[in-house]
Amino acid sequence: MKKLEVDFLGVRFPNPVVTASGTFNFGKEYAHLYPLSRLGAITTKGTSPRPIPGAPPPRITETERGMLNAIGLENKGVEAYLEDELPWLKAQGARVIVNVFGENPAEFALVAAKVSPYADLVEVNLSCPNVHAGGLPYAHDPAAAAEVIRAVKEATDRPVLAKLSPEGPTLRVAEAVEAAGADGFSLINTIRGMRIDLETKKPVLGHRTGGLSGPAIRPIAVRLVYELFQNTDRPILGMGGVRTVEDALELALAGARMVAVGTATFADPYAPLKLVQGLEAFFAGRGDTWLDWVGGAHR
Amino acid sequence: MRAWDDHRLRLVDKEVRGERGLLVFDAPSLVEALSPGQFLNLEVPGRLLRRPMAPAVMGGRLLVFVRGRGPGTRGLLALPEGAVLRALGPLGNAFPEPRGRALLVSGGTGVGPLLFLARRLVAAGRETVLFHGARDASEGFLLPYLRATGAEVRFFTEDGSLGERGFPTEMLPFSLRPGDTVYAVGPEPLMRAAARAAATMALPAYVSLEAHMACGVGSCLSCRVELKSGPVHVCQDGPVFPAEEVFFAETPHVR
Repeated sequence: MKKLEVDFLGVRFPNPVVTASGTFNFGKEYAHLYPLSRLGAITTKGTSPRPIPGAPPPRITETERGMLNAIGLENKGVEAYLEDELPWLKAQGARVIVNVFGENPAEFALVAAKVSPYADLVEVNLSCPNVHAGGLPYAHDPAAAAEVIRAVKEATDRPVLAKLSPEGPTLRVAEAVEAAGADGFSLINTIRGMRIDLETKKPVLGHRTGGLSGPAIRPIAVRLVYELFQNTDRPILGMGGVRTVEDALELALAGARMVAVGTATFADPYAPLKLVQGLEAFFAGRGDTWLDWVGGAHR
Repeated sequence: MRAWDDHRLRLVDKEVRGERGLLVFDAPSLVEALSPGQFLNLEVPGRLLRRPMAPAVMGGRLLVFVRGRGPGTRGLLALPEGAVLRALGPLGNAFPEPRGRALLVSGGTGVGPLLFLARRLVAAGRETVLFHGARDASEGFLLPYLRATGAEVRFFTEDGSLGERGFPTEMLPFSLRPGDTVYAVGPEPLMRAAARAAATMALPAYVSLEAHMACGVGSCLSCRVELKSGPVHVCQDGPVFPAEEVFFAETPHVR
């Protein structure tokens, strides 16, 4: 359906619905349910140069209208995904956004370079800890984040999205990474939270803290996408608690050119497909298009 | 094994005793596809995430044993008959075949998958003994289901208020014979004790592990546990594992 088509940094997507990194792995688990090419794009699980075992259990716990996760960046490392997952995913006809991270700018760049042949876009996870700054996430430090983006831009010819955290100086980081060459943005990442068990009197998660996601954080996503849209001309991939057509349209009005579905997929593996179908049904009876809604709240 | 999908379940009957209960669902598309040991990621009223549960299939119906531990599982037990839920399944692996006689040891909600296994083994003409350990007589409502499997049933209560007094794992060593295969599903102390009893006689033993899961299908990576042979994800590599592979409580679970 033409009314959902989106041009995003020179890449054509049939619709604006994307899976959020870490909620769809590399797509194989879901490929028997529906063609992955039906979605706008698949964002793959965060990938580092080497395998990472991740955090101790429990790694997830449900909260009011949301969930906390502390997976600890578990992944098999870029070489495994280059062999088993990324070529397979491209062969499905899916558009692919590859989420990358590392311990330092050179590692980010290394992964970005290796995955580029399979990436329509490269998404840079700035929320991972900067080992050289005592574990402070890059997303809290505009200069460090800019350094990462500069390194990734040099390593890949694919458009680069900076994935922003809702914590720290989000808009200052956005400004810094844009100056460093970021082509677009994705936001929001999760917000750190904690649950404590009343019986054990200890934090529920093995890692103690975890990232809050789901409907509980959606208003924060709407606010930050709205504020970022006022500060940049670069396109925005918006996410945070999106499940329904209304959720997606609200983020579009705030300024999101594409939207990602994350936690909703855990509750319903068909959630991204249902959102595509819902948007198709919504625009079928209308004279306007998805793109007419993007940034609509600012006009 | 058939690929999982999102199935529709309709609650047709239930028995609730305090915080424990049995939900009986009509789920024609699912019951044919399930094998004993596999699990569902079951929608829970009013909650965001589903909950992994290993059911039984008996008489063409899906039986889910629930312990109401939090708002989600308590909400399940409070569902009215006729309620409709969604469930992802069948998920995970199934119990391997026994070599000779099968000795099944269940406790708590572990009764679901073992009741299912007992039913299938008896139907296949395999000699099967089913031990169930309960805290007290309030789990007596399980007896008709246990007996309906056709297996030899031994029912234990900690306080002796019904059946034999004590833990099933105390009596298990006296029942084991060369050639047996042991299956244990329940609280960790029960699985550990059953695994030790089997190991003492060099018998194969299988246990089913529980882990917090979001997706249940291998994408969220929440359910990683460390086995002696290395890391696994319970949802895809399990939930059934050889007992000798599992680090039980005394040893750290991960890394």
